[in-house]
Amino acid sequence: MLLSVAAAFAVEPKIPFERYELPNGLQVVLMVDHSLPQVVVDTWYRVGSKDEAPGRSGFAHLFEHLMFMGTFRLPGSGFDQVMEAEGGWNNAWTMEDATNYYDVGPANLLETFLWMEADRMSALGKAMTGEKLDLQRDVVRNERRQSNEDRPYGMVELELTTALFPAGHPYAHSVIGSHEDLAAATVTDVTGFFDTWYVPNNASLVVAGDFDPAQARVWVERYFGGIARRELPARAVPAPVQAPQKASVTITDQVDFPQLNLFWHSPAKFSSGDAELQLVADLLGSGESARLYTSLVDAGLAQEVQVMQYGLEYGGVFGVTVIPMEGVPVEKVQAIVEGELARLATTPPTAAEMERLGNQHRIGTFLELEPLQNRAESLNRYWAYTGTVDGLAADVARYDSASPVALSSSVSRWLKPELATRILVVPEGAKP
Amino acid sequence: MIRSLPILLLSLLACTPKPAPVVAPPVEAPPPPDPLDTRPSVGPAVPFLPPTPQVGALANGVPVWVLSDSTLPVFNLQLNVPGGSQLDAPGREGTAALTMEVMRRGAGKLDGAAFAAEVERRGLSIDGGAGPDGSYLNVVGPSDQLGPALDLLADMVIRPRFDGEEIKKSRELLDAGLQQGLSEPAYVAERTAASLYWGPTHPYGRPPDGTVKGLKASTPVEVRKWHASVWKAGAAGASFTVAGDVTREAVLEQLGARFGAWASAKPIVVPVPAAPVHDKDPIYLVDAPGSAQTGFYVAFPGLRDGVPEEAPTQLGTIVLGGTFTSRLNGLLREKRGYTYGVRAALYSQRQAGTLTVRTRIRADVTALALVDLLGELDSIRSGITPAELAKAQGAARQDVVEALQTRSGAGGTYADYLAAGRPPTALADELAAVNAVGVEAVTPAMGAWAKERAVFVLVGDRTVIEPQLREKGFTNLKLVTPP
Repeated sequence: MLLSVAAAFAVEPKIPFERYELPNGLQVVLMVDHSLPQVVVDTWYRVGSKDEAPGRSGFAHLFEHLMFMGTFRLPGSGFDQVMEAEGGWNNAWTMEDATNYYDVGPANLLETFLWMEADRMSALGKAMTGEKLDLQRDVVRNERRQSNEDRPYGMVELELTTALFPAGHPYAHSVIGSHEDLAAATVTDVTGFFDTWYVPNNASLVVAGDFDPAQARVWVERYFGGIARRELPARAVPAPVQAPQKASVTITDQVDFPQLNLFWHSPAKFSSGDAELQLVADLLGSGESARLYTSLVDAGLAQEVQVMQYGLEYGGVFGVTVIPMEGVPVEKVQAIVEGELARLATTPPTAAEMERLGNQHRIGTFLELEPLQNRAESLNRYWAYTGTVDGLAADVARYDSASPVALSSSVSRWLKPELATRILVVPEGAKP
Repeated sequence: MIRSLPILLLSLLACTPKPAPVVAPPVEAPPPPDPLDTRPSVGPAVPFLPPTPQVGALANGVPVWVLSDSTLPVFNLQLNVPGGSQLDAPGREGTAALTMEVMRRGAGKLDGAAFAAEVERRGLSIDGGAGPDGSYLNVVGPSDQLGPALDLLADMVIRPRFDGEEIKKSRELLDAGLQQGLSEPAYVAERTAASLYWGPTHPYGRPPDGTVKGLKASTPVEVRKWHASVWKAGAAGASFTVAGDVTREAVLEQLGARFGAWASAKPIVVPVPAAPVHDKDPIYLVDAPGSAQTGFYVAFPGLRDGVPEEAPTQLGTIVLGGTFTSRLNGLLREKRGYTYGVRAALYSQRQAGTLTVRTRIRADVTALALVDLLGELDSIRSGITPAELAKAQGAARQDVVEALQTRSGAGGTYADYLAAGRPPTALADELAAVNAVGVEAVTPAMGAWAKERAVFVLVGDRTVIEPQLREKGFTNLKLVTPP
């Protein structure tokens, strides 16, 4: 059990909302907050890079860009122009399991936001052209250059997918995709993807902020109610994977220092062991009293250590990343990481460590809930991964109830040395 | 539909001299209009007035602003003092950054490890930094931990340990971080542009996070001296801003107990010389072999914080490159597909500022993008449209609203105003000034953006970009190395 020194944390984090479903299957959540004159419309589609056809890696994300390229009712850059003309803005992101679109702006833009989201949900595909596709293809390829190719150590996340997942697995390719696959995408691919996945029964809409919920219900029904539902294709759930495809990969990069990355398969999001491994990640790498920070950074052996648990629908990834100090052998650093994991697998964390983890996690939850858009997105995330938007209490509870022994057990079950894949980045010109 | 029906009936009658009984075909009801075919109108904007903080002061005169918000049990506290990296001695660039790093590595009775453990045990986080004009410490935590947090903060400010081993470790970490940063084209471009724009010895031209040489040369004695002059006797000119689940009375009482007797020397004022005048400088190139993109960083003469031209210049900057539909992003990303994004921003500092444009351009179209960029920089000097102005004003207002939705955003925003000596109504005043700007005010403000006065830095693969630039007539090029 996580204990807290802070009485303030006896307050349970809450997000008040009302939820309903339109006859066409669209999930609708209304979350009122009058503290500031702003609204957020957050639309979550349950489609991501895991749903891409072979030879079309990066397509879900490319499609996300095309969602802003106009419809016959609002052509060209109208989506952005109309929104920004009144002080609003928008953005979107794509991950393995989902694509999320959000509109943020002054409260008087709410009806416009809903109309624009419904318009593109109903009609985006009909207005698609090769010219639009080519333009956004270029933008996405620039994004790949900026985020991966020209970013120090940025190629690791691209190597990770094939090193860890078997060919054909939904996670065996990166979200950004390859240049070749991006170049191969056609307008037919775009319209097919839209018709298949961008349907109301595959989406959840959260309306948040300073608005009248009765009025919002009228607008949601008016604009989204007439969009037809369509049968979704069956998805084949991949078999669980625990062994990596490659034990070790070495890549070169224009960097000054090597980087050690160790990755393991780990539990799916919200499944048993996910919260425990998230706490293990915090125990090892979050803060200056974390175990790996103490044994590597504080000891002068490394300049940086990061640990993460990244849960997804069909499984997760646990990762440890270390950049050693100049002259410190990577093998020495790796031995220390493996030593800490071996110790944790047999010896549960102390009560003081559990207290630290509890407080850090609780304040992180509160701070995460501050921005309106974060709250809206979190409700959609709960819906997508747990089937209910009302997931905050259960989410908090799974961390509160995690025991020291369970943390140890999760390490011994998932983070065995022989199940790791090692991705080593070496500076160009250095000996691997 | 209604107008056409009577005409049809008349024509049928005219063609049929002996009318036979006719069974009218069933008339299909017209489909109901699709509500999506009508774009809704936008209602009037909801009035918005930013809050005014509650004001107080400690016994030694240190001002305190409090923004109470009990919706979540957390607080954010920011302590600002004058004196920043501008105080780094020549050849010691990085002393300020090093001092700020070591201050949280042991203070009072706690050594580095014990201090970190105590902070984290209580769910707190403490960070800090030194900019050119001033330094800050920021604390976030559960609201009932304000007292213990202030104990730790007071130890950092007044009783840091500065253990030799911690100084050594901190220097190594900062040095490694700096060297890592020098692999990032955007970071390299920004450092290089600042040094070239202000001059390498100007207080704003020297990197606040130091140089590899300066960090190595900064001694423990200099670290202690920097701390003594900026923090230990820093009450004069210091200010606290607290946002969150706290009351003014509790904050003043708790701060008074720890900082009421904080020593006070004369406030530090470092005169900042004007930036050198640039006149048709060469385009500066930093060679980054193998780069798929070229980093652009353009620095124009800007403004001092709080001058009347700030509002129209801010709005013109938003039109140029402050939103997704800005002129630059619209052209270079959405029309040309050269980049993932472009950003223009106004950085008004205490004594001088810059206007900057930043982007990353596909290497093979570097020269074409530069031609486009220069065209837009010329065009914005002719002014903006009323629609563009309204858009920029809306974006500026929304920025404020979003800053206020978090304790760190609200605290940081008001802390900056307090540190600059502005009144508690400064945010509301500034928003009112932005709303009062007319298009006629933006033209002269943006007219100051003469590209001949700007510094252009391009970080990319020289073998790829230099031939393109020369072919397009950009022959005044100079290769430089980053500071």
